Amino acid sequence: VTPEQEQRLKWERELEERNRFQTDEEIEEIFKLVPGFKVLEPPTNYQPD
Amino acid sequence: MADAANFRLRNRLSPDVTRVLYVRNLPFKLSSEELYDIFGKYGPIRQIRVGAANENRGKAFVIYEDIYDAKDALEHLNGFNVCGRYLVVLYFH
Repeated sequence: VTPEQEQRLKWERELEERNRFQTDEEIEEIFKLVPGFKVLEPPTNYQPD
Repeated sequence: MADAANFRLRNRLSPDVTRVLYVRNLPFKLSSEELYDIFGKYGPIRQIRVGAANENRGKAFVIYEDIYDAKDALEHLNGFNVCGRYLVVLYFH
């Protein structure tokens, strides 16, 4: 494995970690630090593309 | 899909980029449709939280599913004019 490939794998792993799916609990955790914000109900017809 | 992966690896993300955007200076009367419309343009939204108490009004957190969408949204929306108010958009850590 060339150093360049190794670097790429490292970035790939890092990106996967930063971009992995966030569970609801993890999100709740974030908002423990920031009280006073409530979840906004998405519009009924909202479907992410 | 491969080129998207290459793009992502070539443009490595700085550590301060996160999926959670903190937004200030929002008009108070924006509806859910309007908020999802403004922020949803840049990618699927995982969740939006809005300030409940009076000192948090006009403030919100927008969580994207994908970190590149969040970066895209911030770059387009920071300083964006909504009903005469200029949005302040920051990464939340």
